[in-house]
Amino acid sequence: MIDLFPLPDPFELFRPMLSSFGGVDEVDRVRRGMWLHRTLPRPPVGCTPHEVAFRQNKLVLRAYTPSPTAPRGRLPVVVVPSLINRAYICDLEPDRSLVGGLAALGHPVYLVDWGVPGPEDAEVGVAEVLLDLLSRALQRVCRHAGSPQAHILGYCQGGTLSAMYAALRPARVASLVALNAPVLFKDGGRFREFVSHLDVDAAIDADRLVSTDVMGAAFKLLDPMGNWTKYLAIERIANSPRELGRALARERWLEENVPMTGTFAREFIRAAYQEDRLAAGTWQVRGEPVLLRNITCPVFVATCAKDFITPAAAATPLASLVGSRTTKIELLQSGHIGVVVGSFGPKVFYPMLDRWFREV
Amino acid sequence: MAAPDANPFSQLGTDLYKQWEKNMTTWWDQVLDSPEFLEAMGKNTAVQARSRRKYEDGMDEMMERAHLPSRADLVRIGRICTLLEERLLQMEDTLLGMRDRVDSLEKETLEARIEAAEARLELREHLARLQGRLAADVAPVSDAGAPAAEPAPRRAKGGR
Repeated sequence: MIDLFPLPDPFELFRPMLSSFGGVDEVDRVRRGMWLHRTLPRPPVGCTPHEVAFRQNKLVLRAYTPSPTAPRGRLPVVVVPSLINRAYICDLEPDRSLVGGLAALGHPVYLVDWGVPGPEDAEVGVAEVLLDLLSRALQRVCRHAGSPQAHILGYCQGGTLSAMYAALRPARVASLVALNAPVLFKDGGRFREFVSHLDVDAAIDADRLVSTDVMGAAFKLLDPMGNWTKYLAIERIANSPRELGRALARERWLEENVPMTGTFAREFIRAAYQEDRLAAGTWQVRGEPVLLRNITCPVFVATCAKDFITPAAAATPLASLVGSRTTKIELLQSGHIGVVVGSFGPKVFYPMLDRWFREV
Repeated sequence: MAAPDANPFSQLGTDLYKQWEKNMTTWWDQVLDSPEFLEAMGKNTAVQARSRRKYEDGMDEMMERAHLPSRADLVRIGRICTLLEERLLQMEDTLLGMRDRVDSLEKETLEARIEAAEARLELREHLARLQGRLAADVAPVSDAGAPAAEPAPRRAKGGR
């Protein structure tokens, strides 16, 4: 595309005078980073070979065959990502893929790709997500894998939903891994502060989608200066195609926001973030109380020290709220996204999960 | 480690930039933690939602006047499709459940038939054993009781 209106250079007039001024150089680098960010094509994502095991509405259940060279895992692993982001975060790059990594370690892996809801799905609420979509997806996983139960690995909001599902329908859940999954929302960090002042009924229509513009702006405000420094980071790695590819794959994920259905957003924001009903045990789904103490399978709570989206204080209480005998808490030295797509994943986190799934 | 910058002017610029970045971070933190800002943001979201709704309603009305399918019509059709898919999946669930039951019944029936066949075989073997024993027990008795050979016909008296 021809750039008819390039970004103006505020330092053009003073450049000769300020050429040796270090700070100007930094600003110039940010501008170059912005240009790279805007012009470079985004790399392909979700490339790990898989088959589609099941489809329902926008939900696609992706099945990843375990590596024949690794000792085979006994039960299938179901990865449940957040509803408000693209599921390919779990398969961003071939060598940094959560689903690909677990399959390479010998586990039959299934990814619940929620898809992108359309306006016709605006009335899909928490009950539909848990008791219709996730429940059926898990049933199909068990059928596809020929196994009576499966391990569930829920990431971020997907972890919260997985915990709720395990509390409501514990029969098919062999073990639960909650990765950066908030359950005590009063400690939910800045995002909680954002929505605590929101008049949910006025701001969100139950029969419409929550626009990606609104959600994108909210996520950008979680780390305002990060939106500036990321251009510097992109400029720094401009000469390394591999590193640049990695950064742009993450950018693609951040750019491709998924709208939330109005009914789900209303219920989740009110019941979870504003009234903290999950930890209190007062959340009801289709008249059934969601009691975390009903979870009796082994539970692994993984949180990240550098996570400002789900602070560890919001995630770790799950271990004490469940009724399981076997619980494990791990504070990982990584960030909210880095734990899955950074080098930390294949080096530390995937082997840690492999051990957990084989031991429980 | 990088060599210290020989140009003090350049170092000053870098320091100033770093300080600016730090100040901006602090300022943003203050802004984002202030209840006034958060309240205003919440109100702004509500206003945005209202404007969007009004715009979409207006578009719907315009499409309706032009006798064209509106957004609401398409949403309704989409919902019907979703409901139909849900019904089909429920039927599929029921069929799969029935297939599971039939499979388990078939398995149970097959197991029962195999057991019955095995029992019959066992019975037959038992019977064969009994018959063998019976034959073995009966044989000496028959041997003792039975005439050794056919008796010769007696000559008639005075029949010289």
